[in-house]
Amino acid sequence: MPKRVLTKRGVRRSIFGLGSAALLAGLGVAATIGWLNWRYQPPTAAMNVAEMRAEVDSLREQRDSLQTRLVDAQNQSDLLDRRPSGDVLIALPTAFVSSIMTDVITGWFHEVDLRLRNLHVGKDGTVKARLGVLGRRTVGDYAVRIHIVEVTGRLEPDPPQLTFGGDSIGIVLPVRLVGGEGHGELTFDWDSRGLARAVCGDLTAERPIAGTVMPQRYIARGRLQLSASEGGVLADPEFPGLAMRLRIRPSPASLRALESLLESKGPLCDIATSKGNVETKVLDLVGRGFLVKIPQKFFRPLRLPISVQEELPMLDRQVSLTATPDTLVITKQAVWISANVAVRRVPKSVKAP
Amino acid sequence: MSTVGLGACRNDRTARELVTERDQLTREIAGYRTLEDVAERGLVQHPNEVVLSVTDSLLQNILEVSLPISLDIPGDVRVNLNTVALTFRANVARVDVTGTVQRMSFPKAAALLVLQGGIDEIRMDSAQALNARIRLDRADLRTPTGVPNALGPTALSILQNITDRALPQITEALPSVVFPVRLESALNLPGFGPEGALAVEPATAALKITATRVIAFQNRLTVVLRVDRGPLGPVPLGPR
Repeated sequence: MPKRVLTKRGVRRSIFGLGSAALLAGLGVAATIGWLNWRYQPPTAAMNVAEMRAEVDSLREQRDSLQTRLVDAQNQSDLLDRRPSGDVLIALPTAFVSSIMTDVITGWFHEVDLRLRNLHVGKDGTVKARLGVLGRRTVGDYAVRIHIVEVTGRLEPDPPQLTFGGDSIGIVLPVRLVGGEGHGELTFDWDSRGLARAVCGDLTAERPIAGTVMPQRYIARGRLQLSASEGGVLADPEFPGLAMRLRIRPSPASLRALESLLESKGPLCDIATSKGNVETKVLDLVGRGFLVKIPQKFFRPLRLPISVQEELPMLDRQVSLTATPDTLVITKQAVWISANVAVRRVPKSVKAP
Repeated sequence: MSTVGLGACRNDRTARELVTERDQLTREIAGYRTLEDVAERGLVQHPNEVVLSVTDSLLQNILEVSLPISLDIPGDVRVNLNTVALTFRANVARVDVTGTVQRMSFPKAAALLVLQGGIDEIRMDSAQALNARIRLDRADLRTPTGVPNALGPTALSILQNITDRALPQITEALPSVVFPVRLESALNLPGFGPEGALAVEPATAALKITATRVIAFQNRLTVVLRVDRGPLGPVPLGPR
């Protein structure tokens, strides 16, 4: 039986024929294992376990040390001690409410324009004067009419003083009337009597009048009533009977115009009318001022900017929260809003076919 | 070869346990530091701070009704999240979620999944709602009890690796904890008049609200929010 003899050709076949296929298959398996290993290797594979253990030991020491220090310090703050019950609590500390209310209250009066139009004031009177040997005689009657076409003023607040107590906050707010201006017309009627009629005659004159509003300082006293509203806090202001007076100081030009009017009638007339202190009366009339009442609705209620949301549908989750706010609790430390919350699953809406 | 594989598995398990413990310790240390700071300086440390506090039972309820959740992760694997438990420890709100993991090609064989993490990252969303995300530290797979041969150690190990890699995706799918509070984006003062002698332009001040401290203590999660107000100014004109 002839022996099978390996020829050079046969050797080549064993290496490059079936042998090479096996080699390639082996490489393929190794590559696949390598890829799988890379693809699914755990994120922790590259970590140094010894270093990690040392880090964890160090962290554990830190934690234990902190824990020991806090054993005695676990008493809560005063703020949490007096909290009401409820699933959700919002505490607005007095400092926060005070800070926000200061902004709001000063905001009410910040750059507020007062503007009055078409005001009419007037004064009538009789002038008596001692006329030498003739003694004291009536020299005439006057009527001063002032039509204020417009007077404006501007208010500026100073920081308020707030007092917390009960369910309201007391307010003392200094408000400055920082000036303004007014203009109108002055009508002066002079009806001479007796001897004055001969030298002075009757007089009717109109002159424009202008002036500036005298700066003044007022103290507005009121309070903010706090109440629960729609899961939040509503601050409702009360400033009963607040009023401000716009007093006008006539400009020097207006006063000079008035003087020149009377002087034009001659010195005797001037003497007669000056006895009536017409200029002073004009000053009195406009200087007495015009009252501006600040109506209650000027002070707008304000909702504090954080509150319990009564209905909270979470559209992506078919979950709905319904919060039922409780009463407002006001302590020296904070204004508390509390609510109990019902959590429910909302059935998925069925789409119409 | 299997010995090498088992050795590698054990090494990986140890590393994963260490990573989990490191993350939990880091969170506990941060929690204790916050608590220490509160004990020293008080809960409210700035005039612009307000406090929001919710019970653990409310948080638990909100999370519970959001489950079950199912999601598919790479590797043809489905994750089902079924139950959640919330516990406060060391000033940390710890969340444990349980569920199952199964290969879609073998849906009858499922591994038990236990996710560990905590309530983290409290923030305002675009709708001015306050919510908190759950951050996961660890996912642990176990063979379900009563089904001893459902998954072999190799299959469980592969599933574990797949799940570990998909933790960010699973975290994303977890429900966020929405707090039922309304936070305004601006403080608005309405105008007045002109009426009689008075005229006031409306004014507004922008509000920026950020969570500064979170305390998980005595069955309540307490969040200190800082409300920074901008200056009062005129109301911008809306589109005509």
